[in-house]
Amino acid sequence: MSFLKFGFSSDMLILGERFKKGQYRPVITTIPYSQITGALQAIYGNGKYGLDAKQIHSCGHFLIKDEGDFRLKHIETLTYSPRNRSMNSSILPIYTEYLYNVEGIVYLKENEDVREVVNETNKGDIPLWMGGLKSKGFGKCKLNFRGIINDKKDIEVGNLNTRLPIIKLCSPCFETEEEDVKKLIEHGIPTKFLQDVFGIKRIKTANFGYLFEPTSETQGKYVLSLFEGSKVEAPKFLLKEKRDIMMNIQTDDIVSKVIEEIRNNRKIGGYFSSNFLNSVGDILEKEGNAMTKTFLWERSSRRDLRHQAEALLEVIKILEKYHSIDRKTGRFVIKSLISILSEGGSNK
Amino acid sequence: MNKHTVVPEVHDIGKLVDKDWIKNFISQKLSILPEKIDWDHDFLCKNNETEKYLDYLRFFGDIFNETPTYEIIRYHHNPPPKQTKNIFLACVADHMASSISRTLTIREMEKIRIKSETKNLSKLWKPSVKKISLISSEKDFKHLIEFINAIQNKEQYIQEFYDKLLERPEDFQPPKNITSLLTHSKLVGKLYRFFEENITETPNGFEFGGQIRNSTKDAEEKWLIKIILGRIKFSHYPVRVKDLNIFEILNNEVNTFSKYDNVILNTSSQFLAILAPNASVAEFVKPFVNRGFFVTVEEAKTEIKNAYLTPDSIRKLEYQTFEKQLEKNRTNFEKIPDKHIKDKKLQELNIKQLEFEKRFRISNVYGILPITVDKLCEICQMEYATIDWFDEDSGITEHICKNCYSIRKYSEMPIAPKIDLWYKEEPYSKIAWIKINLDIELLSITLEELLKKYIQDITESTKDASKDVRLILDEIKLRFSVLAEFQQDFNSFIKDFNNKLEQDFNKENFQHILDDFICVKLDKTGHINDILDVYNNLFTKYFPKLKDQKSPITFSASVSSAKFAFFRHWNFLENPTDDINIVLIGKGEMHISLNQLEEIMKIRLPSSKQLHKLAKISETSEKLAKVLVYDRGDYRVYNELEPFRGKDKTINFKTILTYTKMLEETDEFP
Repeated sequence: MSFLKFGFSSDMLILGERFKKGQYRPVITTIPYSQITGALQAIYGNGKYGLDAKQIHSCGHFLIKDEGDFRLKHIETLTYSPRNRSMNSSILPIYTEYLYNVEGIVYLKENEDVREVVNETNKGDIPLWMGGLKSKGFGKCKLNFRGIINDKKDIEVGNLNTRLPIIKLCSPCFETEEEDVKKLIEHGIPTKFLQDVFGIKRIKTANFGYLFEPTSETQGKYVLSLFEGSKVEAPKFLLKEKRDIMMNIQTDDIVSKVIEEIRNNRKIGGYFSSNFLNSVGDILEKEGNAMTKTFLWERSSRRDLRHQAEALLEVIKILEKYHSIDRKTGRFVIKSLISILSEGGSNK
Repeated sequence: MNKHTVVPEVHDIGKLVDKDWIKNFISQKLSILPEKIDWDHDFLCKNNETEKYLDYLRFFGDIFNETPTYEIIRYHHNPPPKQTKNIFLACVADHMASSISRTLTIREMEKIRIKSETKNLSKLWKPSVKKISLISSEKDFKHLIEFINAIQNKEQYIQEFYDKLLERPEDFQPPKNITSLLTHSKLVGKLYRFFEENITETPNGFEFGGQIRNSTKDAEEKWLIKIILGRIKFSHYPVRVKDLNIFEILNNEVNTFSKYDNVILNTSSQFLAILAPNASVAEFVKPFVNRGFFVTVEEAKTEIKNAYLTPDSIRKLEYQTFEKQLEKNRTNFEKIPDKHIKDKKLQELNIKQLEFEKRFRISNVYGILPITVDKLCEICQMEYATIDWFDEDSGITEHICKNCYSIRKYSEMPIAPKIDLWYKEEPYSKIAWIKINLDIELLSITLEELLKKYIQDITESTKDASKDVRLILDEIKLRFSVLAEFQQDFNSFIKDFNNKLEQDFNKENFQHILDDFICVKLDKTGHINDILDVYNNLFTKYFPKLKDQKSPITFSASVSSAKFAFFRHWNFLENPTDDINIVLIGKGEMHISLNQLEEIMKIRLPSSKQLHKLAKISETSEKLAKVLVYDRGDYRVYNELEPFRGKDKTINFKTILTYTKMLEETDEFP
């Protein structure tokens, strides 16, 4: 049993639950089977639903080291007021949470029907659209091929990190009787679909929920599914990684990256005058990068300031690499350069 | 009421009598030296020298009527060879409800010297210093006999002797003096009635769970029992104030549930209970499941004698022995040359392992789970949406299931009217949802550790004790009554906490939802500090010994505007990670231990200008905020931020920043 492993990234994405109170739509923090399979089916399926659809099976998860931290840094709320064109007025605004700047991993079951996807991987990133409000620019994602995993032997007991339906309505090869579902609920014996597609051996504690499965272009049903946190005996890649392994996967603090780069740059060092740093910082905040660089080039012609000016040009170069850093923050980085380079502000 | 009603709670009533006083009294009346008198709480009195029973009751002008309750008092320690059902039940219940798994035998007592008997109740989390007042007058003793002869129900007993029962330990002899007689008596009553319902008397003995036994010891060793730890959860996403009715339903169901005789301990959303071995767990939790909740159940099936604190502690204990045996067998079987026999043996071993695992299951018990649903409920996302809920204010229609509809319709008066009022007055007013959780699993681990420490303190030979002695001491395990004792203090702690907050924040700013779940309207987020102060003081008062380790009681507060979606708060409040957990929605989180809380509360705060600056910078980058704290560029700033420097060695810097944001006041919450 092989799976294609992809890196996943998206700038703005709505993987939602159902609307609450008719107005508020929360997002989820994993990549369920229904969403990613649907997105891949839309590109690589044959445009058909039901029995004629291709056998594409995929699931995934975001790279999360701490749920609270992830929510704080990667979830925003958009207030949106749809317009009722017939009445020519705006209706009640809706609030939708959306994920931004998220990274994850997607696994795609390797079989004949995904041959086309395999071919695409040679050409670079695979673009796809997923989730809600695509018409408003949400949901553009990228898959980046990382390799093939064969987890036949790598079976462990752990917590599921994604959402998987227990049956596939439109696949005769995974036919499931009501009795099989009863066996799953009462004794933890996985259905044929879970066993054959994802290699799940046993369900020790099931967290149930429902995922949507389209049965035609306009219709579909919610299917009983295993949700994240279910304790299962399954291939390791489907399970939540231990906390310590996840620690280094994603750094969200951009300024922290800048500080690290400044510390690691050999050209930045030596003596700095507080007055000079204050002046450069103020210029950066008021006039921007171009004017600051001109000022520093001019000052580098002076022998007493050459060293400081050249080092600061390096700092500006680093700041320029990170577009999300605003001028105010840039000014503060420059003003605090002595502390940044000294031990006090380091991790020690 | 039938005059022969059994009141098992009364079985230890004799312990309320001051033994020294009664011995002296009999000594004076019969002119026998007090040290030669052996009086026990079964009211029998013997002359040590002659081994003859002494008739002393005549001095009080009364005798005990031979009621079933008196029978229990008289025989629960020394049952006659042919036991009645009452005595049999009382013996089993009394053993199960003792504070520890075993007491030291006389021979063991020779090896282990226990420091002198204390006259106090010594709870593992808070030693008591209260002086106990026991029955020590002729008049009171006479009244006691009359009381025993006339008693009809447990309430009479508890009402009459409440203070004495509360102060008197179950046993004066350490380490058995860790639970009160009140807890022990109540638990014996519960267990007695549980067994009474499940045991059948047959000509060959007593039958429970399909096994017939006729001696208490045999029954304790052979009878199986299920111990279950349940956590009641819901899939709902409460969004409207009416959806909070779910807590009222939960509260009502838990209140009914807690009165069951087999429920040992419960909080607002957890319970520890016992069941007969063949009883269905799903059936037991049905009252919750029928209301739309689901219950995570951890269960352990074991012999009565091994029924320690929680399913997990039982599993861990039994797994040690099982694993050793399993590994030993596996190694031996691997050596079998005949492949066929080897495979068969290994397969047998796997089956054994599966059977062992089956005895210790963790499962989620749901209501009806349809395989497919056409239209899913918007609130719980677990059921067919069959009802359209029309909201007149917004004109929005929600499609909800019958359960969610019944929650909204549960009570005409919403459970949290003040929250609705705060929202209507000012949607952006700041509120704090506060939840105090008790982790029963962690509590059992903590109490076991505290018992070990206590035993070390009271025994004089432990340090250089021989292996034998240490093995004996390791064998002493806690039993349910300690948990029940803890619950009593936990409930008082919660009650005091709520009262104090209601007093400090005024009634109109305080909304009670559950006993351990409240909501407070804040003028300033900084007032969270006052709440933490109240919590810390009360915690120190009630559970001083829990402060040195990770506490099983946790405090969680989630702060936002009244407008913010409640279910987000609930996600956080339900899963505390440390002793103190605070989330400022959209700003940050802090998770610290109680000791760190004290440390952080001592920090001298800089001016609000610097606090604001630090909070703002930290929103962009934590690292940059740390640079600011150490930056010598501006000596005024450097001096003001001095209290923060160095603190990050003991407290996470992120926590300091969240604390800063909590105290700093400008921004509105989402």
